[in-house]
Amino acid sequence: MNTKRYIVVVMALLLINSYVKAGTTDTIYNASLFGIKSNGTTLNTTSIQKAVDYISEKGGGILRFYVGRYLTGTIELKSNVTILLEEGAILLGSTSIYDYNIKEPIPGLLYAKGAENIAIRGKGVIDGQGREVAYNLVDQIHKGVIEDPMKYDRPDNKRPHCIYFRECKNVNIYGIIIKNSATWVQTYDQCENVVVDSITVMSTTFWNNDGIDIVDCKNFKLLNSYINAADDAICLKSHDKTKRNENVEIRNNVARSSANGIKFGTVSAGGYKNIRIVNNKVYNTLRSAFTIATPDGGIVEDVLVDSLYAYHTGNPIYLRIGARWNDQRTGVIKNVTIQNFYAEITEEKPDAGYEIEGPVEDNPRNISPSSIVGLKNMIIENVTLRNIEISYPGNGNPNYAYRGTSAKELSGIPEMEAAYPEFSQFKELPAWGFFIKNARNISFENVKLIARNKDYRPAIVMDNVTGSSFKNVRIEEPGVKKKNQIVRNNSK
Amino acid sequence: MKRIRLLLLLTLFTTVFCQAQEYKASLFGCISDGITNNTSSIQAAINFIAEKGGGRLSFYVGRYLTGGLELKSNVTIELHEGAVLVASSNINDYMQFENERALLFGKNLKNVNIIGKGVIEGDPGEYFQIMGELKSKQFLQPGYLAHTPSLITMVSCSNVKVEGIIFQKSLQYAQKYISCDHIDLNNQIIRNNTIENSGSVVFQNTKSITLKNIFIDANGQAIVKDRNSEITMVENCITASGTAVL
Repeated sequence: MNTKRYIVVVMALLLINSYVKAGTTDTIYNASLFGIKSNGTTLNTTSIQKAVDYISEKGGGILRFYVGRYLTGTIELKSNVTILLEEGAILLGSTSIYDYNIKEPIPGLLYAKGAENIAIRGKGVIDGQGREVAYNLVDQIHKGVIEDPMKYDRPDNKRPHCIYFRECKNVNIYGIIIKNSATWVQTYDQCENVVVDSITVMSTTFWNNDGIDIVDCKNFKLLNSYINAADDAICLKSHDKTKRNENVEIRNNVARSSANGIKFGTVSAGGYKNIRIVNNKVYNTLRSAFTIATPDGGIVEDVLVDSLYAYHTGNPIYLRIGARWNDQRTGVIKNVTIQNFYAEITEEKPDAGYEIEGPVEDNPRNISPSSIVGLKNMIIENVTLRNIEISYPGNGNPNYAYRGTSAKELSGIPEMEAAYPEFSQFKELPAWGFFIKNARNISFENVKLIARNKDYRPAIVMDNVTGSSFKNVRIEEPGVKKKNQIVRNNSK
Repeated sequence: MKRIRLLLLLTLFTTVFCQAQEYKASLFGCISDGITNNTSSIQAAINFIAEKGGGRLSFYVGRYLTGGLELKSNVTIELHEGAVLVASSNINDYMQFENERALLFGKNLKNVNIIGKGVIEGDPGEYFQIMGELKSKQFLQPGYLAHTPSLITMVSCSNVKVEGIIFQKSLQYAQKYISCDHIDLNNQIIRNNTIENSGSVVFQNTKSITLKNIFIDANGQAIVKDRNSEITMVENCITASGTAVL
């Protein structure tokens, strides 16, 4: 495309863009019009709901909240309604579990099902008060009013999300701050044309605080956002085996997590296609900076991770096919490119000091390597690792945990196909840099692996890998001479 | 013979029943956020379970901050994988028992189990910083018995099992047993290398000790035992450098 033509196209796009924006700035309704109180103590659920219904019935518009604290239970958003939270406005979740739509399979403070053209915008805040809600729920369970198995000694169901949108079209979340959820912070399930832009998520309040969950969506953009979450920060999932995440762009975000930074799964029923993850940062994160888990038969294809920088993190990369709830379907990971990737792995606990720190688990093991692990009958295919630099602590101590590289010792690594997939699941692995098993066409181009201290393990171990290629691979480890850093077993 | 069999069955029944009786920590309002000080709620749980004839207090994944706790006979503390008992860094959160302070303290007890794959840990850096502040502001008078807490101290206890636990960053000793008998320590990971010259496990006048599958990474001596203590079995217990612990 020549420059002139390019400029014309950009101008045209800008014009359309401003036109669309003008179209949505229709009527503005101030919250006070509906008797909504900003005092922080009046429960506004019914008045806010009335406002939303009224605006939607009038053909749409903006419900505007100025500075103040607006206490509320579940609000169901309706088509063509925008919630505008001006700077200083706080939507405050009620601390009583009964103020939420707990009869729905998944409740939420801001809830929508099948709505179109909905938005939440502004510089204001949604504060779920999730800890208080969760402990109110625990109390009701122990009193026997609500039934719940209390798996892991926490409520399994009914904890409300801050935002739960299902089967919605044309969704825009812009600028807001979302805090303190009782469970996943925000979930977009089977939605189409969603843009989440320039938001801040701060939720280290209770267990399962995923920062954002993108589930079986089509045309989804997560841009320019900051996410600090107790559980996985940016998470793509697939709950329906007939659906999948398609055309998802994750760009210019910063993520912090006491679990994984950017994750596919855990539930991966349908799969993921055409996912672009560009120019993101991950820091102080307990588990993997980037991980794909497909234990439930999901098909993962055409994934690009470009310019991902991970600092003070527990693990760089984990790609894993499992067979957990796959119902005899075959999980697939193919055509994955990870390029311009930089990671610094720490020896100490990366998320120490954050609330709801992640667990110490799968011990004894020395620092885990990056891993690409398929199953014998479900091979991970066509993975390109290009322009990679990863710095590991090294210091693997064989007296603490040991895994050798002989064929017999490698065959002793359990398959664990039905287990919950996590980078540490195999306990000790025989490499400090990369462990690759049951894979085909794995290409390393311009890859630098650094062990900051001597490790008893080699840098790379491959078991049952065909078609691997190594171009300009540099391995640095102090105090070793003539160490065989790449070990192949049953691999070409 | 019949009576013996009946008795056996009865003992078996009671042991199985006691072990099966699980009390989850959340029942007593214990909070796993790593910030809430759970001392009173955990102590209330231990007392409650002891009064019911014994049972198992079960902690699931999460960080449970607590001060010193007094264990009771027939109460098992179970730390599931990912559960962490975090020792408070404030000495005033610990009771002084004669010359001992401990996160988990037991005296004259029988049948105490501390089991699971969980963690018991302290934060020596923070602890000694707070101690310094308390001393410099003269909140701790000279002559105050400011013994540094161990993670576990048992005095005159019998039938103690500590199994599967990971001990990290203890303030002084990970475990200390004084005048105890039948101490079974197995499958432990002890990483106690944050402060100097700390013994990791100390035995004084303690008999019938069995040690199995223990890894100790410590700055001080891995195991300290006086002449009156008898270790009856050691199996696969090594230090970080690969040497035997004894």
